[in-house]
Amino acid sequence: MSEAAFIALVVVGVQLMVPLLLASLGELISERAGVLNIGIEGCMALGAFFAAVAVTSTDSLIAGLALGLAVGVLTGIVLAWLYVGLGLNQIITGLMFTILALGVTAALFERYTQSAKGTLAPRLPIPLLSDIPWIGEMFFDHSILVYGAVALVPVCAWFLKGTWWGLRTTSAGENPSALDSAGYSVRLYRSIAVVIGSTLAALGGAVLVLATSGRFVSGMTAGRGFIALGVVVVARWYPGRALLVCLLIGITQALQFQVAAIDALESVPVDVWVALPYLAAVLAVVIGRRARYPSATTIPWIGQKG
Amino acid sequence: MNAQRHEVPESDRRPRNLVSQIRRIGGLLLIVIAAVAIASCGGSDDSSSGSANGDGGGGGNGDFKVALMSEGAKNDKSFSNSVYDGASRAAKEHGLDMEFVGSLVTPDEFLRQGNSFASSGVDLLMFIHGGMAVQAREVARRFPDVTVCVGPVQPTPEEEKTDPPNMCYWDVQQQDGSFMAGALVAMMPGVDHIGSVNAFEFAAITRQAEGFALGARCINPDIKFTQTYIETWTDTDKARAAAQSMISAGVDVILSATDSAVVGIYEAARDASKPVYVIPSYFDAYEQAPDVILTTILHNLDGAIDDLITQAQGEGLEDHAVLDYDFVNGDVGKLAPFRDKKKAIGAENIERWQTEIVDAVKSGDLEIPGTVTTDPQLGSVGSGTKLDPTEFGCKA
Repeated sequence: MSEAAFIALVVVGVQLMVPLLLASLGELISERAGVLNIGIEGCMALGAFFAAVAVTSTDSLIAGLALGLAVGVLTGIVLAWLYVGLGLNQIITGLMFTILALGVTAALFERYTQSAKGTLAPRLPIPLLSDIPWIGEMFFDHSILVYGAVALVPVCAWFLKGTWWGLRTTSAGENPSALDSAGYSVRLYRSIAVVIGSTLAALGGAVLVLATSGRFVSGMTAGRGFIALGVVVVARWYPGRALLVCLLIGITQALQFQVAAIDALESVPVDVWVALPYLAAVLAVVIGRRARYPSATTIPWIGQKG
Repeated sequence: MNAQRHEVPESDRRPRNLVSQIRRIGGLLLIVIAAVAIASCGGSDDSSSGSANGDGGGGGNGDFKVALMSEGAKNDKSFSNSVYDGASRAAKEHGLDMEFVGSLVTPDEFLRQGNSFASSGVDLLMFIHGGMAVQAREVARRFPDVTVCVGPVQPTPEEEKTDPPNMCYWDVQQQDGSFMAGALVAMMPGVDHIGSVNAFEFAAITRQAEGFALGARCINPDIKFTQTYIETWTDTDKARAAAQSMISAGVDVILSATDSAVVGIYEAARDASKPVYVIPSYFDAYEQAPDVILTTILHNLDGAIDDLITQAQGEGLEDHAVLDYDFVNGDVGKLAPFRDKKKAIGAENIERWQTEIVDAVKSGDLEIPGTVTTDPQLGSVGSGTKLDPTEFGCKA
């Protein structure tokens, strides 16, 4: 493989990583609080659609991000009401919500989509760092959306480990009775976690539009939300590990497109490369089979103090 | 899930009253009903919005009813858009009732929707998906009074023997357009490496990519060709990644043999450090990316669909009908105007392409191979770089 092909492999891998990373971080926070949010695929689809509506209407990247985020918050509130408020079965509710969101966005796409393309996030090479041979081009010559997503990793880690709110959120997933006994509302912490999680997933969908196409395409989330569910397990609910897993999946996917540049691999059937990321995901889940979900995951809280 | 279940202590539980129970069940029911309702509308996209009585079908005299089912939305600026335009035109011209359902994904969705249409009394039912022959056949057997057409695809000899008489096939020889586009780009100055981003590996897609390679080799036998199957019609991120990888390998022009995911290819081309052009298919998409679109291969799907519907509602289709459209008989593969890319192509190259390729195909001096006439046939991966272009009338 030539130097240029290797650099392209990593650059493409990093780009493919970003929407998945945001969805994974969102799911991670939600699951830490004890809510298995299967609906993040739906959140991504809604975030993508409304970000596209905003960016094609206003040609403003900020408007696209803002509407994507706003839809994420609203979606999170609805899901929190269903999961936490009503205590509905999280798996069935999440799946139904995803089907609903994918259907609604596809139907709205047909009725209201605009052919115009909105602004895309420009590339923003980081001074000095982007000049480093190989590394600079691979990691420091991306759009602000890529940097922003990666920057959220330490922020999430700090939130979960370094803030009282984060610790209580984790407690809502591990030992809600203790949190309740200490006088805190389990429902509140879980609800906020679902809202944050859904917002991050919607942001992932928005990034898909704002970094790739500038417009919505029905079905463009392509199961990334479901892959994120696996990423979180493999990463054992740690944001840093989620970053590495997402990068690995991104590079594995990118490898599919670089095969032509590697003579030794050219004869391998295309199906193998297409299946590789999924095989890697299954393998990773098998390796991580001892992963322990937060103790109260999927169990609705029906304690006394709310 | 290897979870240690958290059991809420009995003392923490409070009995649920009737209102809370109703709320829980009602909430779940609401979301299930909404999801099922949306899903049953064809897996996503809206159905029947293309009705002649709706937004663009035509007058609708109710004598002849046609229904179409496709994998894309009617406004996807690609394959389904072109089909919808043709059906709308026919409906308007002949005063037919027309319904269009887009964004069907699974065979089961096609089958369900097909049965629904057939039982509602349509005269002509069209599966706009070459991979749905099995489902089309099942509906045709169940509803012998309905003409059921599937395409773009050709029947196999076995299928021709066993199909019910009301089953019909339609096909557009997509390799005609991609062959001519390949020949055109091979004439462009500085183009020595071309690529194709393809959706799925089946004949209707593969023949486009292989035709592109063969057409380019018709002019320049040494031109390099790279292709990738991305296994999606809609994932723009994957399409972009595939195109980026090609561009980094030195590709100058990329053919899109996918669907709405093509917008990701536009962005990759825009982001390239050198001029890279994209050739989308089906629908003249120039306005979507005027800076990178070289031309569009117009497979004249709208013309084929219009013609098929017109024939069906007029004299009717004969039993076991196979309607095959190509460049000579149906303008399949005409390229959209080059507009501001004339300079990049070069006026003398356009003239040469017109005489050496387009006119030669029309006159029969150059015979673009089909998917059954050669070995390897053009629907198989790699055939475009293996077949000898001189065997078909190329001078190179």
